[in-house]
Amino acid sequence: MIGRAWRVVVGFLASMRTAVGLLLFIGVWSMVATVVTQGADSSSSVIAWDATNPSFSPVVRWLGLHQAFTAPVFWAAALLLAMCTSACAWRRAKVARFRARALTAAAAADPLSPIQAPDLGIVCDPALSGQRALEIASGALERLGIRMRRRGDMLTAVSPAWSAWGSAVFHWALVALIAAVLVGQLVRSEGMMPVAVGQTLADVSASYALSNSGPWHYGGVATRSIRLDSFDPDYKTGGIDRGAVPTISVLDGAGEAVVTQRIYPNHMLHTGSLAINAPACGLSATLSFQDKAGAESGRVIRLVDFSQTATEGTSPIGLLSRRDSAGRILMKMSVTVPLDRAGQGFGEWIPKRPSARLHVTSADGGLLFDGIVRKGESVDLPEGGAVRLVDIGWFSWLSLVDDPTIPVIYAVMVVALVGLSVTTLARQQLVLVTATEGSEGVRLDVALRLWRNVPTSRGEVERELRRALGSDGKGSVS
Amino acid sequence: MTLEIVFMWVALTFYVVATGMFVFGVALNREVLTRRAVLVSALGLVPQIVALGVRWARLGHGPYIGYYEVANALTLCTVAFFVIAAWRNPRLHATGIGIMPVAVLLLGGSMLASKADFPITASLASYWLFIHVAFANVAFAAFAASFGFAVVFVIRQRSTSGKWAKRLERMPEQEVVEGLIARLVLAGFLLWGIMIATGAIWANESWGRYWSWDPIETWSLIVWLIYAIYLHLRFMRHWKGERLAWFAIIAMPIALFCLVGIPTVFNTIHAGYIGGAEG
Ligand code: HEM
Repeated sequence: MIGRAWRVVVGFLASMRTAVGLLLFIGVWSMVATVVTQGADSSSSVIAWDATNPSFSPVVRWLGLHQAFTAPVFWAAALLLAMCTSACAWRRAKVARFRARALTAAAAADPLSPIQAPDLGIVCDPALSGQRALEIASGALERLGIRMRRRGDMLTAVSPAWSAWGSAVFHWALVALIAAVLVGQLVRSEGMMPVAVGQTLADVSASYALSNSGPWHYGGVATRSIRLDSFDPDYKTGGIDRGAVPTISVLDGAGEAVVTQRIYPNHMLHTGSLAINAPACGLSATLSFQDKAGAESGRVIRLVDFSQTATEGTSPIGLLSRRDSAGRILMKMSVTVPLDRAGQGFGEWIPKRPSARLHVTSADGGLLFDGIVRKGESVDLPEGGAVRLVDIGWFSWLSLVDDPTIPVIYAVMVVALVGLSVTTLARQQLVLVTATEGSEGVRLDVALRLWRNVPTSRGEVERELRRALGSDGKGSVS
Repeated sequence: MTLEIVFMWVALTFYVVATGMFVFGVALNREVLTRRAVLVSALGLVPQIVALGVRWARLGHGPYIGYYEVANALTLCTVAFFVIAAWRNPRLHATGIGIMPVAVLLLGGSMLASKADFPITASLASYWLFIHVAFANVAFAAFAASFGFAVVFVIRQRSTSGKWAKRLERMPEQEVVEGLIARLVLAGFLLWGIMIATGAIWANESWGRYWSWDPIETWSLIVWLIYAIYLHLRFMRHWKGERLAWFAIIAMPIALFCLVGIPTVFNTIHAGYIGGAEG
């Protein structure tokens, strides 16, 4: 009973219909996904798409096509394809073993014995000798693109046994690739970390503005930290403008730099399974808070993104809350940096006269202060004390990806492509020819297996041999 | 008009003439004409290579950026691939009737497009660009050849009166042509696979993720899957004859659309290589 069920399942998985059906489904699903806006159901672009396509939107939402490549349907299909491919890879391996054995046996065939169970038996023109018939057959096969070697009284063209393994290796590698990608989704972590020049942040979730970890992620290396050593807003090398380029160090638990590197497009920082990229930058404002007696009570770094649509060219990243000793919010402060005008918009650099706009509200939102403070100057705070703008500098958005499966994915891709190269380029052919002289004349026996990548066909070989040996229309055991 | 453009028009003229010679050579059953048409196609490669070489020397980068350069490189690879195949196997000359029109349309299209100079941007400055694009070009050349072979196959198959079959009788038997189409598809599939793999590695180096379902990534996977379906129908279902040839004919334009259509139609981070914007 279980045996039968198992056979049905394997039969279904290894069936060609299932494979082609799944390939087709994934292909069509992906096509549709490129014309449907991708994003969270609540995102503005998705809502806008739904509004312009009211007749499709219910179906699209129901199918999960707005998040097409994370939708359960899609992953189920991918998983089923992986299972299907394993079932097929299993069968491919069986075929490969069978062919490899046949090739090995043919390569070792005794050149003095007649071929057992030939695929073709051709009775030649009676005027031909056995040797002559072999010469003619060799020429005829060569014309069809099969170069024969002479081994004793036998003509042979036998591919090496490894040529049979390409397809199986390729299909197994595909299974491994899908598995590695799936595992990668579970163990990888990625996130965006904003770091100002001179700042060092521990690689822990609190340091990220945005982060996403798979359920099996090991939780980050808490002892590792990231430091932004310096920043070049306009770095050029090799005659190419690389844009704004930070120099980053990754520090170990003891605070020692493990690696220090400039980061720009096509020049990421790699250390272990961690890769760091710097996709964007902005400005930082360092503020110093002073107590009523004028002594410094603390320093903070506030970050702003460039924004050509914001009133003064920057938008704040987060709000700063000041609390009293009981934890009650005293005030909320947002910081922006007014930029210099450049043409119609704003210049994305540190302004010539660096300053910051402080917008301070009470806990319930009432405006307490809104004004500009220049570098080196301070303003009094409504709660008492003052705040001084120490400096305006740069910060970098760092994109950190920690994915230990990437080398595995690369390796599997290479194996898949090697397998596919063998399938594509290596011939899989087995041709043995012997001539036996008997009472009715010479008879050519041919073992012929043209499995793959052969520039001719069995029919063509048979016709050509018959024509060349003057035996058109005579007996054959094929 | 610069020297480069003059040479490009000369190349296009050669290709148009070669196409005409293939059509007449086959239609009038004049083998000498089809043989010479292969030579004319090969001659067309010379001015095209010179023109692209001049441009390469001037801009300091190969033909990878902007529709003009991309379509040009695809044409060059398609014609070169065909000329080599026809030179190695003279029985295949007549397939030029299906392949050269593709080259003419592509190069003609690129001559009508903007020929603006685009510099290499920071995000394109990588040796992966060359590797990735080279495989895309050669893969397309293999698909274009499979298309041309399939066109000839269908013409012969449909020649109920036998006229066209007679005109194309120097070609290998239909069964062999079928095998060749499958081999070309397989070769294209391998090269396209390498294109996807190198693209993924480059994306990881450049953007920190190897796959992000960007439209062009998605469509190259779709093209790969379409050809995988072809190969399964051929090798597992033992599909044969006209319907499989039609499959190869329909699949090629999808690959072409992926290469030059997607970046113009969709909002993609790859738009840079067609539009010249930051890629
Ligand atoms: C990720 C999905 C897959 C891709 C991209 C793929 C690709 C290919 C390619 C390129 C070939 C032709 C080269 C060769 O002969 O090996 C092929 C052949 C084949 N595939 Fe797949 N395949 C996939 C999944 C499957 C599945 C699910 C099955 C089983 C149902 C399968 C079974 C086969 C078989 C039996 C052959 C014929 C091999 C031969 O005749 O030697 N494949 N596949």
